[in-house]
Amino acid sequence: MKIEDTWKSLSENEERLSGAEIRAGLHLKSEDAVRKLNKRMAWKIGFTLLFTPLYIAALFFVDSWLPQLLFAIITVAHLVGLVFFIQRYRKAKSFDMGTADVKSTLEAYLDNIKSTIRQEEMAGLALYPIAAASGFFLSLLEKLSLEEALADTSILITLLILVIVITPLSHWAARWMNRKTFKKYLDLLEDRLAQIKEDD
Amino acid sequence: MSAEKETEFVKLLEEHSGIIYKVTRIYAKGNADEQDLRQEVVYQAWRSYSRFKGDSKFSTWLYRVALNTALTHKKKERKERQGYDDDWQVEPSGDERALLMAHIRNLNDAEKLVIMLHLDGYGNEEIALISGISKNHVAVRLHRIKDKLKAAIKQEEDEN
Repeated sequence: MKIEDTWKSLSENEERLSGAEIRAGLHLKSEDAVRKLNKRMAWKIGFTLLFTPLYIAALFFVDSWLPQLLFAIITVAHLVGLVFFIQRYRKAKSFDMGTADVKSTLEAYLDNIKSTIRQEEMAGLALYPIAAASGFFLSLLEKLSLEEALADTSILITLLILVIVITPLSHWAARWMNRKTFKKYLDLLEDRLAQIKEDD
Repeated sequence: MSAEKETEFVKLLEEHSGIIYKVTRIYAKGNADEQDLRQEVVYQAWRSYSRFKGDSKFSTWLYRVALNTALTHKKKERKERQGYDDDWQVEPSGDERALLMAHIRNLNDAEKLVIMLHLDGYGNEEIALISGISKNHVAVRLHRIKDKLKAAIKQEEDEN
């Protein structure tokens, strides 16, 4: 086999992209990113649906009022979160990227996704101390009564330290997960938006 | 960009899309990856088109965009697949053209680039410009790559 001749024959028979395929490729990426982002929004609904029954079940397993109250707060927060995610997902799905005004549509779409993530992270900041405390009491009350636990300063200090450690750690982990899940596609759409603005 | 610019770009790309096929075939891992990469190259080329001032031939510019995109794509893929076996080799099979393609795919990234440009008729100076390798080094590398390819092909022929 002569390398040069074989390559020449390969080049002559090489496939070609059609104009329609090229045109589709110019815009397909943002549609792909939108589809992927919508899917990831749906995951949030899925995860909330998965965890909410666990918290509801926990309500029936504990017989002390404080962890019950904490679990009740978390359950309500999850139910509110579920409604919030469903609303935001439906809104995200309602955007038509084929519309004539791509710039405004993209801006509104990005705003919807980014504000959903931001609000979820802020709500999480309020919930992590409650979740940490509920877990703490759940394990503690197997050995002590609630009155004994609340009367012990060292236990309360341990709880405080736990909350101080767990809250920023969980917040960081949530932000990291959101970055891993959404950033790539958000960046792609931001780039596309910047390009559209540049063209204007 | 204007509709006129888009039409001009589509026409040029259609004419030179063989370059995209070649680069993606050589750098992608499989059919699905090849298609993804092709789409990525088209998208990146369109994004960079406003910066193409015609200082070089369109084909040279497209080669550069396609290669940069392919290498970035591979880097990303490798990062995402960290921990998995990334040492992939193509088993040469098919007619002479498929065999040559398979042997080229088994070269390292820099070797693929140099031989592909050389076989497409680019001079050492242009190859050096596109690849960032010095002109003298291109000649040395080219010689080694050709020897390597010839040896692989000969071994293949001897085995069959």
